[in-house]
Amino acid sequence: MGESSAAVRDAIGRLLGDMAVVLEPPELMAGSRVSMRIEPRDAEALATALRTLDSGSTPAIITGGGSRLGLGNPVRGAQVELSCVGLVGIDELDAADGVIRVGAGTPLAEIERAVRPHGWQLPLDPPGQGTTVGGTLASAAAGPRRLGFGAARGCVLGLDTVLACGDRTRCGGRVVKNVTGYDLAKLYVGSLGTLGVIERAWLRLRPAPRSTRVVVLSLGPDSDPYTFALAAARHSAARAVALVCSELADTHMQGVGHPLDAADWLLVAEYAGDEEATREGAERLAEGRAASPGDLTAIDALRDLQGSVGALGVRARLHVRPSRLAASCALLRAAAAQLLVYPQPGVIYAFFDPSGCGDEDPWWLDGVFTALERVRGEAKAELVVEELPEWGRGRRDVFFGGSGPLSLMRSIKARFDPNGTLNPGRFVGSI
Amino acid sequence: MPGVRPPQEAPTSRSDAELIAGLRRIVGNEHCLTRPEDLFAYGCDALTLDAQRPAAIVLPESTEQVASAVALCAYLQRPFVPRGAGTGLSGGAHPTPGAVVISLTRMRRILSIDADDRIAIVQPGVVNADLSAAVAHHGLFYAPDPSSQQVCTIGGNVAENSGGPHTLKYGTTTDHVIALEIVLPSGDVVRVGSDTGFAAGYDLTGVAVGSEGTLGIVTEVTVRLSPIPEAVETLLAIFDDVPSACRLVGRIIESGMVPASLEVIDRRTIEAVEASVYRAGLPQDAGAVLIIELDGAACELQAQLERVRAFAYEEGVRGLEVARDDAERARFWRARKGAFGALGRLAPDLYVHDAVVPRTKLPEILEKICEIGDRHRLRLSNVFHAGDGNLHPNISFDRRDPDELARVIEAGREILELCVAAGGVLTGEHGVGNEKRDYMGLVFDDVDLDAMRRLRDVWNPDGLCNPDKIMPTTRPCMESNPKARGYDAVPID
Repeated sequence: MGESSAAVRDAIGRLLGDMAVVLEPPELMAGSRVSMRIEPRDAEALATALRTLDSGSTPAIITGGGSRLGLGNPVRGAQVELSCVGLVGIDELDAADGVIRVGAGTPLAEIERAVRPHGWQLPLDPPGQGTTVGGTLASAAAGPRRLGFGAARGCVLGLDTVLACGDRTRCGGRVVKNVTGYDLAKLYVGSLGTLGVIERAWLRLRPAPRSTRVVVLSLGPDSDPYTFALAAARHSAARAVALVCSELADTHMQGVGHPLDAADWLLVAEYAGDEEATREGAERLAEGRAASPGDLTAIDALRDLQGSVGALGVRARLHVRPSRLAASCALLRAAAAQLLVYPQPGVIYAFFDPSGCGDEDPWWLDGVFTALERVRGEAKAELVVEELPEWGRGRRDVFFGGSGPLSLMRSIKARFDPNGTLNPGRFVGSI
Repeated sequence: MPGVRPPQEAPTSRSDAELIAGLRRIVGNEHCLTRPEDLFAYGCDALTLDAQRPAAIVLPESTEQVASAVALCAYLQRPFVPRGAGTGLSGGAHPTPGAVVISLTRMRRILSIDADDRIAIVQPGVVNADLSAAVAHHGLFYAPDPSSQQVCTIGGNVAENSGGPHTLKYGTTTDHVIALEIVLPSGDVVRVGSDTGFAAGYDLTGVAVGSEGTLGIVTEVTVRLSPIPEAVETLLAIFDDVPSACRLVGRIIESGMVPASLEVIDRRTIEAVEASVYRAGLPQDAGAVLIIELDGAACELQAQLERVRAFAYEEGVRGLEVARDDAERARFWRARKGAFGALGRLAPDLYVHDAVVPRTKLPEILEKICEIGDRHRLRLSNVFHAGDGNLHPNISFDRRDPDELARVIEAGREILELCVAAGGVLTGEHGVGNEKRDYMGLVFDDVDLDAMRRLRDVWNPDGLCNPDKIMPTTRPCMESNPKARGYDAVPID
């Protein structure tokens, strides 16, 4: 930290007191070297912290549980981490209505433990240990059960958000149906903390299923895995359906208890709902095939796999229309990607392993981006590189420029965060 | 005989003649309406209060024509208002005086249907029910089903984030729209979202849906289609009172079931329905009926049906009918979907509220709403989406009676305050429009509203696109609420 930076740090430290801690040595985080952590414990402290940062135009990295820090472009010039892990707690669980109000720093696992005894489940299952509500919503993260749970935004009823200027704002509410005013929650969810810091959330819970069944089976080279998996995913009780290529199955799915011999793909399906529906779903899937009954460890394994990345490797997430799965996967396989596929709604995780290439080989990384660009063009995929080696960060926009009107997005950023305090540079187009 | 307000000075330095000449060049003479009777017809939507006189109505047939018309309005600094079928109940399509109404009803083509990927691309003027009809042979349907679905348009549904009786299971419009083409208030055309369901960047689709046409004009909509459920069971549960019906709703939801619909109709509405063309054979001495619809895999429905039946008898149901076929199912639904039409016969005017409360507070809130109606000596009835706490208290009244009108206004305010105090909100599916904008302060403080203005001002910096909607004016509620201003503000010819 240079002199001026040290002065900023000292000034923040004086203003924020115990809330701010100097990191010595500085930590590398989201592409920046961070020398101070601010950890507010309540909404007013968060507002004070943001006002302080904003008044000095001091960029900050906004963090939750830290499980998705690799997502996004490098944050420009941030020396300060603003951590939301102190904003913990379940304020209210309305077990009759199936809604809950929680602090952004509350780990998802804690919420799940609280709601289960009341017959509810939290419809969020992203990968990562210690994942928080705020981080999950800010990154719009989803896990293997995205098929049954839907997108993260779907369970958000209302948000308390602190803007860069320190204004504490509220949108939505606690009721499950609401068109009162602009739906700003949609704007904040998935914005990677670039427009405001989520402080609390009202979430809609779902009834815990009366029954769940997991089926694991292998698909050989003569099968049409995509059509088969898509049909499995379109059963009304399907909550999670995934295809795992044999290489990834060998390394990550050994514990699921199904032989992988000579298989191209491992298919994992979870059915949830009434007993009759899950039984029918599982039986229909396994009909005429060598299927193994699985358990929830198979879903956990999928989640871990989705969140993993090989040493210094690349993990990309692609969204395609289901009818373009086969073409997309063929292009990715030709580029030596290993694949985890959720056929509905059409999400592919492509893992690129740099083994055999030289250290920090820019040609290899460029090759990966070129392959992804090709899928984007030919299969009309939307894509995000979620993880890449630290040395490769900042070489390319990991959102590939995004889709939609970038100028409109920049204007929104400018209106909500005019001084560029909140995760500057991290979002699409380095917003 | 009703009429429209005399022309007021248009908020522009340019003349109407220049504007109208330009609009005619864009859409052709026959699709630019300026006759007094046309201006009258487009002076309001289904909220018939406070009609205003627009300068012109244009009916474009393409995105290019919409963009040109908007660009002209922007150049002339003339307000413009997008409009679908005009079935909105919150004044979302009300023109301001001298505005240009841009009606999208000629843009009614279904552009593509992809049954494999379960998506369709439609123009905004496509009628909601027509889309479901067009995809039915693929085993698919479009899930949002507002009561006006036989006439309301997808574009209007997008603007209002419309719901319907099946919202409980299937969600509202925002859950089914994945991409939009939008003409911005500048006249520029943008595409937001993606047919994959994910678009890197801010969720502009999510923001645009439900923005009541204040951020731009939607000219193309990509929607998700849903599979027609394998089986459907529809029940009609007859109760002596509304609280008992609400208790059954609670039992069903708390048991972990997610029915497609849970709709309550109260005694006064039953009477109105049975006296109308929508009569469905409901017992007129019942205190309430609850329509329960279950759908899903055939193998699971029978067990769910038995659970519902058991709960119903435990909650003192007086009678329980299960629809034996589609005709009987249609009869049950005729009572629900025809309720507003039937209520419309009771008095010259009908004021439909749309507040939402936490579901568990329904019995208590409904009792208080009835007290409010009684205290103000009003004919108040209730039809509501019980599963998600979305109330529709309906007040039948005669606008020509100033005293009654004043009581309607006061009762409406008390109902909204009551619902908000119970943790609820102003509107669940009808939108804020110009009807409830000045009640926004009940739910949000100035800082919350300022955040909303930041968003709106990025898209609509000059405020020309559907002005005076959603955001409160500085006027007190009673002065700016159209109902408060009353019909007498609109001269009668």
